[in-house]
Amino acid sequence: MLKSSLFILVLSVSVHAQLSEPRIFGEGVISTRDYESSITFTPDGKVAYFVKSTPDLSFRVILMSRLEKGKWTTPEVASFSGEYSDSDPCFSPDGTKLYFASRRPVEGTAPKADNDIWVVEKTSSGWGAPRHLSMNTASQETSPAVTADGTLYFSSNRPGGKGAADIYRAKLVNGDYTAAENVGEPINAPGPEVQVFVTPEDDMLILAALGRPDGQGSLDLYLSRRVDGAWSKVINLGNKINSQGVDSAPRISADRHTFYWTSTRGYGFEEQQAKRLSYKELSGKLQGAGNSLGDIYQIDMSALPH
Amino acid sequence: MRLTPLIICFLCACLWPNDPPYASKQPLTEPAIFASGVISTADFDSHPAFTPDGKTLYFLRSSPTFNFWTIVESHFENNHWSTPEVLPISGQYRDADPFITRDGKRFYFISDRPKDAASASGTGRSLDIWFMERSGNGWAPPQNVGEPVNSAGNEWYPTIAQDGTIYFGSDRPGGKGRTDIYRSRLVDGKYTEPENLGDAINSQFEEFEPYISPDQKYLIFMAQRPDGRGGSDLFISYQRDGSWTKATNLGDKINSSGSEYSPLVSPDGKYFFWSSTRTAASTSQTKRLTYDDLLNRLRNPGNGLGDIYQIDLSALNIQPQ
Repeated sequence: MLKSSLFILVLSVSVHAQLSEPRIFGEGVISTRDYESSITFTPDGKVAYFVKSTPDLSFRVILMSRLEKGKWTTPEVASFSGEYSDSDPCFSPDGTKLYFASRRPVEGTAPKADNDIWVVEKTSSGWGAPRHLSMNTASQETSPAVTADGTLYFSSNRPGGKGAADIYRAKLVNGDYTAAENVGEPINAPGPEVQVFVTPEDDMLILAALGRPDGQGSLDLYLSRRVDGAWSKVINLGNKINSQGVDSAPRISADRHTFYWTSTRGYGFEEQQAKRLSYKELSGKLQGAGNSLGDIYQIDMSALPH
Repeated sequence: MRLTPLIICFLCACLWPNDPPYASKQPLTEPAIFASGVISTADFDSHPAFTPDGKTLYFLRSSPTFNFWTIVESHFENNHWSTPEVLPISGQYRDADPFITRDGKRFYFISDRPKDAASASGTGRSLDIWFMERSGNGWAPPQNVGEPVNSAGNEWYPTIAQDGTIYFGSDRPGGKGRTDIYRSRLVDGKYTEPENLGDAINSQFEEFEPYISPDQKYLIFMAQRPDGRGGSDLFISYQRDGSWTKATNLGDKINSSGSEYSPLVSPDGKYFFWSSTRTAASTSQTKRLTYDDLLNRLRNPGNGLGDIYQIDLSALNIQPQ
């Protein structure tokens, strides 16, 4: 008896222990052998939405899991997803709206060739019908993130940007977004900026970008802070966060203690194995989280470079 | 037509006891996933090579991003393919592209394993062609094929014609661009200086993974270039009067919007094997997926990671002169 209460004590201490190294989030339930990405939480942290995709990312589904008695439940397909390719879910800071990117049709039944940004709002009986936002174009709009005053940040490869894809911002006017402006330098550069997260206070911006001189691999994550009203120089989040794989879909928890992101690091990037793998060991590496299909990672915000 | 037990018996009887395990009861005029669930699985399976009797299959089981490759083997026993095992020499370094000679006496493959003690601790080793001699039921230790076939660059996908000429891909300097296909003739037991197969086959883009027919009348190869259907595609060229015809795409049955790899004609000459990352997936669903529907799609062959496919060789309509 004494032993088991000691054990529980140790466990509860470890939950609050510092996470100074990346850890796979929800291993076996949320992060699995499949391609998971883009987690977002309700403000109380008890409901998570995230994405599970085909390995080639041609079809994506938004899933939901609840934290019950300290465990994440087996995911369910979100009530508005599972028919067309949906991705990049992101809660509004008050948790009443969920923004996402989708190839669902605005009219008719054929999927669109490009992604647009949609929003669902909480009603007394679950999520309402998805609503298409007005600042969408025939180009890609992805990776929505919203500040407390409703300003929407997103990525788009629309014509007129500084490179392949840029970060844009649109103000909330009468419940919709019409005009969007390019966030400009130093956030945008000649290479593509494809994912963005902004804090509710609009004072910190994290983006996923490709092809910058200080990149570690494919997509890397970068941070900028608002200083005297302007975005500061963009800094690479370093080799704890960034890997040889894709590092993307940044999120900061509501209490600003934890950083979440998606990474394809894992089995396959190493030059060689430390020792010869048996078939069972090989299958174990291929058929669990960390197999270099996307997983969701977490780390303390304090581990990010300042 | 419903198959009565009698007809099923009749169909079985059509399979002669000496037919290789990969022989199909019915004509295979459309691509079929090979040995679904054992060989072709939810993992990345590709690059098959059979022993001459067809009863042992070597193939690759790779990381989902196709960065790390391991050669595994399966044996046809008691009428089914056994759960694979890692080839005894594989599982630590990147090993790929198995090829068994038609007499079954040699096993060729590529690897970035260290060539000597000096390169064992280094990083960034290039891929070379290696071979093993048959030794009892197994294979003798690997030997590096050496220069001039191997270079300081990378070599891929050795296949060997009846007269010993070795065909392979390489990114050595002096090609038409990126990677090209080369051949080296065997003269007095030694490989001669490799010859670039030229503009009918190679381009400024990627060409590697050649399959040479035993009589060298045709070459099927993998290329990633703008005249493809997406990813890498398989192309064919004929050797006529000592020169190669302009390569043509093998078409929509063989190639897809995914990537195709590893062309191979079965030891009995009746079937064409290759690998593909094609999916059954579409960009929308006829009905909303449940979580179980989704897992079922993601954790079976056809999930977009590589699988091994088989078709009647006659479906390729190969017409050497």
